Amino acid sequence: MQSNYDGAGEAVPLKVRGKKPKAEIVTTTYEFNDPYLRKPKSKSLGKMVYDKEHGKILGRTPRNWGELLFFYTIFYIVLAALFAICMKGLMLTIDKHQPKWKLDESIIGTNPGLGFRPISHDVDQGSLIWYDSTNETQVEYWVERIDEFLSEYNKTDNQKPCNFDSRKTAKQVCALNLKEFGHCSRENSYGYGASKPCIFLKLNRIYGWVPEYYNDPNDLPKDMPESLKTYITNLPENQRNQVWVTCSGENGMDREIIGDAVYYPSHGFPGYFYPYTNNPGYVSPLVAVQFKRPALNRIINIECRTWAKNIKYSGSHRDRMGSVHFEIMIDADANPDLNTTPKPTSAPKLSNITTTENINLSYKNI
Amino acid sequence: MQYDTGRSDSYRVATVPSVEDDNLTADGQYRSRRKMPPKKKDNLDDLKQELDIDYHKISAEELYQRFQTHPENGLSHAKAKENLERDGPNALTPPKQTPEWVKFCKNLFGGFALLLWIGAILCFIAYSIQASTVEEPADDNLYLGIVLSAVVIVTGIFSYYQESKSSKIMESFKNMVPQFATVIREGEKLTLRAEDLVLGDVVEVKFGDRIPADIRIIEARNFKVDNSSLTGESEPQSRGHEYTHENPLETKNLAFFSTNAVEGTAKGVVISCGDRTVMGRIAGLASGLDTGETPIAKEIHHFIHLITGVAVFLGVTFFIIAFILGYHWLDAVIFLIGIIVANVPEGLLATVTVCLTLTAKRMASKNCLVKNLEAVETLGSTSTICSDKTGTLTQNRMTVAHMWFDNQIIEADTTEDQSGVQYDRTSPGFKALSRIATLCNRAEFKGGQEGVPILKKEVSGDASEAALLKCMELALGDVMTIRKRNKKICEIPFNSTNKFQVSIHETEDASDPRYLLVMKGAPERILERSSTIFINGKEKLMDEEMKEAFNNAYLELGGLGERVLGFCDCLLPSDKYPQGFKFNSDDVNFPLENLRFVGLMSMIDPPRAAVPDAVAKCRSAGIKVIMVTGDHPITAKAIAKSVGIISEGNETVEDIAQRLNIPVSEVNPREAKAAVVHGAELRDISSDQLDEILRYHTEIVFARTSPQQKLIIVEGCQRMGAIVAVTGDGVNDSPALKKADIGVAMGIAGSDVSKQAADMILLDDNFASIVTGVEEGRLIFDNLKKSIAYTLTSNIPEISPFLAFILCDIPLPLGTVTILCIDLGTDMVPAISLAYEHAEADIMKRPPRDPFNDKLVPAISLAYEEAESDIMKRQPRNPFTDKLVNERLISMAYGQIGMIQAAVGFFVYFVIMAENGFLPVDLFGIRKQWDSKAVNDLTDSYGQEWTYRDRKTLEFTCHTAFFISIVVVQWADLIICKTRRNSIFHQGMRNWALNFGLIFETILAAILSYTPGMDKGLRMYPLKFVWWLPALPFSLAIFLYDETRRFYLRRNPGGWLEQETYY
Repeated sequence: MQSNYDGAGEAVPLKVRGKKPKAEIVTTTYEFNDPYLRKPKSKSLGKMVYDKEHGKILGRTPRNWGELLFFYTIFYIVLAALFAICMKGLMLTIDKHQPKWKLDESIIGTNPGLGFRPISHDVDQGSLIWYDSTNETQVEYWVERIDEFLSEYNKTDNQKPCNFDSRKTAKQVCALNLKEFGHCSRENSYGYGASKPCIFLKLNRIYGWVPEYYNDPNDLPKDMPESLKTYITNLPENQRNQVWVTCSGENGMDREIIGDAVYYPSHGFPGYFYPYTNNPGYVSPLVAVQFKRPALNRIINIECRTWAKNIKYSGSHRDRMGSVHFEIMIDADANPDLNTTPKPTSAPKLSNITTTENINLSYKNI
Repeated sequence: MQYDTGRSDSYRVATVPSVEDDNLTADGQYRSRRKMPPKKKDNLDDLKQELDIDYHKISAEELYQRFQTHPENGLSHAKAKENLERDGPNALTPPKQTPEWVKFCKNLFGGFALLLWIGAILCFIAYSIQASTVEEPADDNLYLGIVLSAVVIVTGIFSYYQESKSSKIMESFKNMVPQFATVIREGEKLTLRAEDLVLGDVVEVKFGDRIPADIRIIEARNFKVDNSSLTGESEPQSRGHEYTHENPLETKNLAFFSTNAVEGTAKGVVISCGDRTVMGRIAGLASGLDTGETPIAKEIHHFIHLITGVAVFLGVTFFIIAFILGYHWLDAVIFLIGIIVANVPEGLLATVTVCLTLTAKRMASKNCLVKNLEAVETLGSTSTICSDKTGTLTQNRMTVAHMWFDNQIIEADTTEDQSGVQYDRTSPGFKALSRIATLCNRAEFKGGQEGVPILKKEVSGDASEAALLKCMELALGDVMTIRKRNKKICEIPFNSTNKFQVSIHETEDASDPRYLLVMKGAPERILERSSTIFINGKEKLMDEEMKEAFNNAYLELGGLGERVLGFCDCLLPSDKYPQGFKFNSDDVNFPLENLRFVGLMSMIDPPRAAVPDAVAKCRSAGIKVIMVTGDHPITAKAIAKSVGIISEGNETVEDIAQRLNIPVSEVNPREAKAAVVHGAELRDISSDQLDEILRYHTEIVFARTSPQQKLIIVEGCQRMGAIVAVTGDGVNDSPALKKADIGVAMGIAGSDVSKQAADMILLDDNFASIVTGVEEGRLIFDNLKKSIAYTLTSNIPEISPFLAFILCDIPLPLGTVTILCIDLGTDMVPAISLAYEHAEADIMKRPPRDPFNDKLVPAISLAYEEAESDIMKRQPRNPFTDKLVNERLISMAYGQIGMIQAAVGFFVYFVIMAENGFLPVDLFGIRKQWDSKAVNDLTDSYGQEWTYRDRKTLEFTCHTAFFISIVVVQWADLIICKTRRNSIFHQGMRNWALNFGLIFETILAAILSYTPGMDKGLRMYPLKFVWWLPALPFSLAIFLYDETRRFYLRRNPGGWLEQETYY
């Protein structure tokens, strides 16, 4: 008989036959004061900004801020250094004189566009040339624009006059004679005062681009205007290496009201200016187109395009190629002398208005 | 006042002077029809109260009086009709269902999606401003707005589809409702639909029926019910007409709606029906409870606030700066909008959804069905598990656990598959005991179960006898044959007065003509009736020593929480009881005393095999495990000890009192780590006292809890800040399951109701799957952090071009379309692939965590280094301080890695511009002219003149290159985001989804750049191959920087670097 008290009177667990010792379950219960996690007390806004008790500003002690700022300063300095090194590396691969990628390798491609002057200082004005031909200030404004643009054509350091037959060296640049522009001259205010504005066109420079000319009267594109075709045919052969340019109204309506255009000095850009190789003092060839009798007080959309075998043309607004678009609007007062404060300078100007202008005005009134 | 008939009650009321006429019937209902009963909108608080009725306490006459009913005749038809109209049908009212379109809208507009919608609307506003002021507005903003809307809509549809859980809780309750009931009205027995029952109806129920309403029993014959749906215990409870207990759930004279009658018949009076029954109240609670926001939803909201804060801050700052720089106010507004929108990570919503879905699928393959995507992460944040006992922790099957004979306690094998130690079956003591157990037993195996393992066979008979039957079948073999060989002659079945059962058999020994009398029953009764005891093959007189030995055994086994039965027998002498003797069970003519005591057998509902291990793992993961059960405290405590909820060496207050021999009140409660709390105590304590119990005991068992109390316990834990998981299988668990942060139901054993209320279902009833759930949840939390860090990083290189555009007047380095290509194109697959990342193996010791110090990151102490993941050895995260996205993550993503990426982008931008003709110096200040359509001859550094078209092509090529550079540096970013602490060399590149993501990202980028036609649609241009290269040194720099940072992090745990950069 077993007793379940041993000699010392301590209880002894009864022997259990066949009892499997329980597997040791190791439970590492974490003894913490607060097994449940209390929500931290929400601080008032003032306390969040500056906590006097702990000396914290915006949640960190000043020392902490200092450490953080120090870390970030070092970080950004190193990053900037890395960036600078990379930029330096970049600049080492860049030639000062010519772009790394040219023509088709570059994104600029081989399809130069056209640029026009004068263009407003204020980019928001867009490509609109809008002035009141009786307003001296406004006319002056546009004349100044053109003067500014043409100022570099007056520097003649490296330039020599070129013609179709002479050969020029690689370093030389061709000169442009501003006297050759007929009515589109400074003395004439480039025609602005007389409501016969001159617009200067230039072909965009592309490094190393050489044009392929339409120089064969029998091989001219169908859509070339007849006047240009005639002009080309009438030119002597050696003068036919030009990149032709024509301007016209963009829409049917514009074409009606635009009147005639005259091109100075010739109908195109002479070929001896090309290729452009970033020589100092290089100036682009210009064609000045003057509109003899544009309709007044209305916006006229004008598009000028070039003609060459390797210039693709597209008149689309989004995807314009080989052309340029601008608008002109010339305001002229119907009764220039009534109801306006007499401008001492305008009086002599008024007399400059030819009778043709008056006729134009009266046309407008009809 | 309207009285429909000449009511006798009005007489009664009139003649009872103390009772005033308050227009209420005796049981509190409105009498007059003019006052409609207030629409039943039971306050949830009201439902949470314990049932407070007195129908069981009052006398039968008063009962009839109150309900104006008669025990023989029942109600009159008119009265029944009146009651029906007054109270409505005896059915559970379905709660207001949220219509489907509301749920869809919630998905479409919740959280993240709202941010994207605001972004889209802002884009549309910006576009309309531009459209009205500029002739040909850039349609970037329109595209962006459309794309954002599309992203939100697609993601919303996707998550709605994923979550099409229509809550069918109420439906599942309805399935528990019986169809028909037998009612006595006006003296006739009728069979009515259960819905037509009213208060006061007299119903008859018999075994096999579902109780059709809450009834008070007025007559009973051997009536037993199974209250498992209310208490969780499936042991049949006998019911009769006596009032035995104050608690309505415990008293014998009440039976409840939708419980099963398992034996006998009874007659009762309906005391409550429909929503007011106990079951109805549970149903009301379970369907009315608001589940609240999941932890991950809270985290995402916090994240959105953070991002919005940064976006608005940046936007407003640059708005002001733009003003100062002289921009038109409309332009400044457009900038503001652009910056805010660029800050919104469009792809993140889809990434998070997909990550959660992937984890849900992974868990489903491990037999954990997750009904709600967000619940996937909740287990990972869980800090407390409240587990039901029966059917969840235990097998819900009585099994013989111990036997006592030959003065020894023998342990029987209780494992499900008989893999335990086998006991010795040869001793004569065992043979005698087993013979009694086999013969004195009315349980039988049900037919047609030939292939089924013994322990799984279905048995007809009560649970204890079933346990004995199975034990004997395992020990002896075919029980039915033994019984046939020992034919039963006579028996006295068990009754609660005698507390024993006895039967007389012919022995199989043909040579021995004596009859065998076998008896089993309550141990003390059996002992009383025994004069001798069979020990070691010999019959000895029962003396004091033996009695003491018996007592000790009984105490020990009872202390284990087991149900103990005693066995004794007697070979009736053949002279007094010869063959052919007519035994009489009614008028007992055979001895019931001086029998031979043979032994004890005790049984218990054993724990499931995987549970102790799972509990241990949960506890070592820092999760507190609490048992909440409707069963007795002693059994509950025993099971708690055997599964590890109460660990060895931990004592409750009562244990200490017992050990030190002092009264319980003198014990310092702080010394007791464990606690066993009775449901009756719970009724009386306040919520503060409950909080104290929860806070100061690490091991707690709640026993005899009602469904309402389970809910209160869950709420108490949540009030303390814990994230609570509840596991359960029964109807009584359903309110707690609903209220918990995550409810886990058993898939096989669980009732429909619990499955509907739960968020996760264990398809194989394996409690150990919870461990899997915790692991996966923690893992996805970590991986989501990584995903977010990866995605957010690319925000800085996306915003900074725009800022430079404003500040420095350079042509725009990165366009909107390319930003979208990054956020919704190349970044998505890698971000999602981070969800497949393995848990980081911890290779260093870390100091323990101080839970109140916000700055110190959670870290644990590892006593050993192992190659396995540490994810299960960490504390659960502190939901108030351990956020998904914190300042450290933002600081890393925006302040460090993002800046490096921005530097890359700008470098490549300058490279392309310079190589094409625009040297860096010449880019500053030309923005206006660059963007003007009028300027057709912009001069570069070499004098070349660019048309609008050509320079826009250049700009878009820069965008493409910027985009590709971001892709290149995101390779490095992806690799460093794989780990937060370990070196990549340790973690390895085994995440094949990630490797695929890297390749896919690159190929996609290449396709977007080089496919012809991309320039028209997306404005992405083909790049020269050399332009892929400038990003490489920076990519390398990112990789080296982060490796170094992590190296220092590991070297100085808890140091400054960890505080500031470990997210």
